[in-house]
Amino acid sequence: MTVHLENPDWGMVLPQLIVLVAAIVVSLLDAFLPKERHFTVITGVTLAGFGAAIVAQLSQRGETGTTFHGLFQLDGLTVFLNLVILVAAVLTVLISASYVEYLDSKMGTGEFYTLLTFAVFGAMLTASAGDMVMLYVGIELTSIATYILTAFAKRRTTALEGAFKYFLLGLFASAILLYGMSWIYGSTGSTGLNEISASLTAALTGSEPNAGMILGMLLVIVGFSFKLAAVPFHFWTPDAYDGAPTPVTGYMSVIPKAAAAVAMIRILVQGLESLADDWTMVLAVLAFVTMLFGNIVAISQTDVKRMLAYSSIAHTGYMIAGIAAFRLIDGMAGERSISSVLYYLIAYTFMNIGAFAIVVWVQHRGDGTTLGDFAGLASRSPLAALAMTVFLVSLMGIPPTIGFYAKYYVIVALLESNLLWLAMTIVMASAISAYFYLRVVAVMYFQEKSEDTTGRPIVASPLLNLGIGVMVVGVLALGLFSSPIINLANDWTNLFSVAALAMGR
Amino acid sequence: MSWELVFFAVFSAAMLLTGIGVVALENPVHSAISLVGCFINVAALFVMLGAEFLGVLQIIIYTGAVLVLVLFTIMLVDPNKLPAFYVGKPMQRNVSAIVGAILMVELGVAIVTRVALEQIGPHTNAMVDQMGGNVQAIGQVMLSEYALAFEVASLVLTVGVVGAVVVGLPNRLGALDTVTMSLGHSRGAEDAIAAGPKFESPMNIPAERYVAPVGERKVVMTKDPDKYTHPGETSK
Repeated sequence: MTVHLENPDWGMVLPQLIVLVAAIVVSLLDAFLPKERHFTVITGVTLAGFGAAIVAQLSQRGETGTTFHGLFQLDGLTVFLNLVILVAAVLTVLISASYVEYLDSKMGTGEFYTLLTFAVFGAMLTASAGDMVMLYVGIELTSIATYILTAFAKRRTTALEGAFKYFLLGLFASAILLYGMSWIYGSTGSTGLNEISASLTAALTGSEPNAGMILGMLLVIVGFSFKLAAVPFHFWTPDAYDGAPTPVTGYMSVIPKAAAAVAMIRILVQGLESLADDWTMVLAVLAFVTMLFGNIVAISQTDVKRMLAYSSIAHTGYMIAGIAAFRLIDGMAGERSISSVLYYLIAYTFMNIGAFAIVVWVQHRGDGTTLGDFAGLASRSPLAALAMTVFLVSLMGIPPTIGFYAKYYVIVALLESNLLWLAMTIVMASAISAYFYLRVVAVMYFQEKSEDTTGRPIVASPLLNLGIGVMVVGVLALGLFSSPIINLANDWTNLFSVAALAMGR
Repeated sequence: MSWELVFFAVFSAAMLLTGIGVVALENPVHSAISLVGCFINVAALFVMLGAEFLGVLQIIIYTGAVLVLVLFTIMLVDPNKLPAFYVGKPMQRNVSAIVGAILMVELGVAIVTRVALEQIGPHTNAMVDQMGGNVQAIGQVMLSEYALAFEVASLVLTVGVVGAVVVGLPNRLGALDTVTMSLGHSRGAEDAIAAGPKFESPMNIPAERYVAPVGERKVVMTKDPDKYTHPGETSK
């Protein structure tokens, strides 16, 4: 009896290891630090951990390889997605710092940052998974931490309701996902993505895919659609986004969604790319429904937080549309589509966390989240109103913001794969979205607040202000100088289409 | 007829009967005990298939830990306050019966076709024997091929424990109130606003807009969006 043990390449997992160590250190610091230095030290350690991981990740640019028996893979997609996730994590810490500090007497800073770091660790593992088992474990780690963060404001009943719904429906989604994965495993005899791809290509030469394979693919798509909050699997989204503390909402609209998106790309593009003709069709329909539903329902919302929740459903639709543009007709088209989704993710990170950051900012000044609370924001704070306008304009997709370029790349990818109707839907959906985004802008600039709020105590939030500043700059600069980013996004897909061409397709 | 077939028939018949008992019995305690019987029979089938390790795990984990936990939970609840089990509308019941039947047929087809096509996985009997037995084979795969996933799974458990502490720690709970919710409907915007202002920072709540919640905090499931209640009201 021989045991085949592989000595893992630790250098390859360095960024993940840094984040894991940060998570463990943060949870221990919580127990051993004196109360008064709690917040500063823990926030500092968390930020330092994410920063070090970003540096480590940047140094891995261009490297490829697998380790841990193929469970872990390092390639362009890993590097790009991990960078997006880490940047989103840093922004989340910036916007949640003042909230957490405020609650420090009641709820743990340590718990909040521990859960956040573990969630980021899970998302990073998902981005670097080379095996369905790893994808599932990574997604679960992120999801479980997110369920708890959603319930963090236990004082509010809406938080409990949102977390409860998110938890139950999330579990249901995980079960469906696992069921689909076991079908794929049963049909191909392997859990490794590259092995699945190879066995599928061999099985499909000259024959139709069998029903079990298609069923597995559909179930996996349904499972990820739950996690991504795509229509019709979005029931939990408005309540969970609404109930969670606003900084957490900003986080959960980006990091778990990025993890689910990358898991979907990994399974569908890397594992099941031979079935691309089937799943692009399903995703195109899903994207169509999601975009229209999210934008149309957002119109009737009078609460900015709920409006942003529906808008994030709509943005899921744009991302899925990008994946749906994947075609293996020639190397170019497929490559454009995935890199457009990756670019969309980074755009979405900046503009969506930014919009939620302004909601946090308003809440720190004693207001709620309804449109009425945003009335007259321009006269109270011109800078905050201006920043919110930038984020909303970017979410709407108007140049020169990053949101415009993100939609532009998706539309180009769609046109290249002859999905004209889906490209038209994106344009139409953006036009619809202009109504509810611009309404917030109009309310901020042209309405007066009904009650006098001067003299109310405010929460000091230096990190939040810094974060908003960074995101405004990011939304404007990353859009104007988008080519390095889209090139980085192309790294993986280039490799991929080269490999696909080499395999004779 | 060999003894093996007799044992198989007995165990699977007992498994099916107790399985039906889980959903058919009215008393939740009886259901849970029936589930114990079902799991033990499944374990017996595993042992008959030569998968002794899975059989033992089935007994230790499901019968020993999960079911005891379920029984504890049921016994902590006042049986008179339990919701009625048969509240579903006829259509819901029919749909779930059909979906369940489809899934079962699918599983059957999957198993039969795999056997018919003779596409058996890498872990055949000969292979398992070569590795030194079931436990050895599972242990090897877990700690070599799937080592990373195995380790990360322990982190998932850690996060679960931290989360249980965060959510469940009673001295960190604020005021209590009752909520109703429906999984199939999202609370409308108007309802959400009526549920109270979403102030994140306790200090900032202006006294005149803050209603101190009263009562016991419970999340009650409803099937009907009209039955939503808000903190402060008992029912609508």
